[in-house]
Amino acid sequence: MPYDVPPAGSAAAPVLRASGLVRRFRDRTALDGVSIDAAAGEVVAILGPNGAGKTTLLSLLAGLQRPDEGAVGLTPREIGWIPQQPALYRRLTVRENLELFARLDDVPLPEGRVDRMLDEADLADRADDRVGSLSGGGQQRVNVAIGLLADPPVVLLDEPSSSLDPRQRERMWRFLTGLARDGRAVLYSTHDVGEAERYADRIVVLVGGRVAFAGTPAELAATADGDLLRAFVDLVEQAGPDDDQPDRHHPATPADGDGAPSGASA
Amino acid sequence: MSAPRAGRRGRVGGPVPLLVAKDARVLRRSPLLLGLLVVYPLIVALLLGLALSRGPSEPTVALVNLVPEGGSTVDLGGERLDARTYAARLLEGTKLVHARDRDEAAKLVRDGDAVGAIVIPADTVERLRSVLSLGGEKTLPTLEVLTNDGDPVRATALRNLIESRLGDANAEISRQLIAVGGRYLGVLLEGGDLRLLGLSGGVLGLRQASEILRQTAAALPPGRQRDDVERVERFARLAVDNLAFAAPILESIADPIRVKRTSVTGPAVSLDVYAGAVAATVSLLLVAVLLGAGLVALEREEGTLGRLVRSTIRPGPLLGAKTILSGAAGAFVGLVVVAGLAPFVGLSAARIPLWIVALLAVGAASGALGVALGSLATEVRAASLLAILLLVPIVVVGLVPDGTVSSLVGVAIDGVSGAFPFRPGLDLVTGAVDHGPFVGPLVHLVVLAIAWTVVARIALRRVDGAA
Repeated sequence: MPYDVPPAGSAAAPVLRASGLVRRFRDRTALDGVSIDAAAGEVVAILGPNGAGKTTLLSLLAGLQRPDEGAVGLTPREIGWIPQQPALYRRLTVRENLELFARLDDVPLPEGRVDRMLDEADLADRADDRVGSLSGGGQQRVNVAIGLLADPPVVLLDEPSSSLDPRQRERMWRFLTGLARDGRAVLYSTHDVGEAERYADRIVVLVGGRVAFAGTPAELAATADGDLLRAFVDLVEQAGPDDDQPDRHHPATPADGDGAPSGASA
Repeated sequence: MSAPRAGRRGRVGGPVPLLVAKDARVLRRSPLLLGLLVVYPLIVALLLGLALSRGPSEPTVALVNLVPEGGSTVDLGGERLDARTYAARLLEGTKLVHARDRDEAAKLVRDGDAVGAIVIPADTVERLRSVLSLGGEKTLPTLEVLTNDGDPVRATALRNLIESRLGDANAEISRQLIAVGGRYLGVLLEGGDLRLLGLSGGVLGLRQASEILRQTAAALPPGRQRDDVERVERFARLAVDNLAFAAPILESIADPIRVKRTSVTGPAVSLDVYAGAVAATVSLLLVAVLLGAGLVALEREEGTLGRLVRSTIRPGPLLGAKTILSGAAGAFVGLVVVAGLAPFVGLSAARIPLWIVALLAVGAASGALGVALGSLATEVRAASLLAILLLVPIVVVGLVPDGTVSSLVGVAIDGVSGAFPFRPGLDLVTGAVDHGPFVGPLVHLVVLAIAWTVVARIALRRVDGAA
């Protein structure tokens, strides 16, 4: 395989622990008592159909929204957040973007940290180019680099590969699995079962705002004679009808949304 | 290839009706857009109607008539002139409200409930009689006009109105006086019974006197000569006496009643200065609101808002930074406009510190409004459109003079104008570049800046769920 398989880290003590997360939007419960944890060096895929609540869960973990109930064990500053769409100033250069967020995040010795992130993200030769002039993959690398500026122990990624071509996707996964090897907990949302199978140590399946499964890809695949995709589809169908509600609060996230509860429980 | 073309041709009505039906369906399912498309033009039309059709041509004017009951008439050669009728004629085309006394009228004007007030002093009729009579003081009757010069457009409109109406009324009195004078001269010429301004009696007339003199000269009878000479002498004395009082009559014919103008708010701001203040305020408002809205919407459009909110900067300071930048940019543009106009409208450079304070205050309130609009919108274009849609009626409403609309509409306009930075901003800029209220509008704008920042904070939380 052209990528490095991350080491299993589920046996280690969790660095991220969130419990009983509930998020309601008026009369709709998007997330209903979700608990999740991740250990250092572990890659966790948050899998679910559209509207399952994946983006809402990541938003709560990242501190973008406050849960109505439940708690996240880390502060937002201890978590690196990498949104699905690159959140960058396209009229600023790569270096200017990194320096701005390094200073806003109170990163110690920001110049040195920026230089290091430019090297790690393979962006040193484009440092003085405007972000708008980079390819989608290049912008995503800047996006990831900003999320890692504060050297967080936990990294959250929302559908990190959805807008990348296969080559860019492979390059990015190599980078992310490297982060896990360095001891970070990496959590990412996806509805791509194959990607979850290939890169994740553990899968958390969300359906209707609740955790329908939590375990290794092999454990989930075992429920359908080793076919992970069929196991996932069976799980979703058992949980209830497809809840493909549009997400009012994240309209720019076509692949996900905040699902209404459908009866599945953790 | 021909079959599909035939199919398209065979479709009833072609593609246009299909597209029209599709668009109509989309519109029907977009109630907000539809409402905006229908309601907005109606609102703007209504506001323009208020601002233009009910302009200064029918302003509310307060009248204080202090002439005692029953003493309001003057006898002009058998014609009676009633001061009340005169006042009514003076205020034709205005909406008249009666005030008990000068203080009440001044309050109505100061509060904007009337564009001005006319005070008819108690001695008006006496003075008019005095002018038209032989004896007594010859001081012309003088009406007092109270204006609120805080609004130069309104003050100018009232001044023009009063001057026009006064000219009409004076012309009416002049016509009557000329008619009386004509009759008087006729009596002097032909002789007869003189009934004018309290005088009565038989008058020989210059023609008869001439005849008598001619006969006297021809006959020269010594006995009667004395009598004739005495009669001629009496006539000559009468003629001289009456020519003496004819002078003030003729003098008063041109301008029998005078007006003294008093401002209840101090001297007026010239229209040139006011126009400059309007230009500066509108320019500032547009720049600050559009920039503030665009800066926030751009953060959301580029997806960086969430990232910023997660950093050490909190939403409040984040919005404050946008407000400061947009407000400062607007204030700079306003300063350029004021400075550019200063040589042409005669603004004093000594007031530059006041200009800067005023423009910064208007900029802060306008920037906060823009930031609030940007917090509500999801992208830059939507934010800009929202800002323009809001600013046009706000400026139009802000320019509707007080007292030119009904009190209920006036209260509504005051409420709307008070919630946005244009009208208080215009008051403040006018006060800064020339004279007028300063502290009140300044405090008003500070309150607006805070209030709109709070709105922006709430809008940001509702739209983004920012923690």
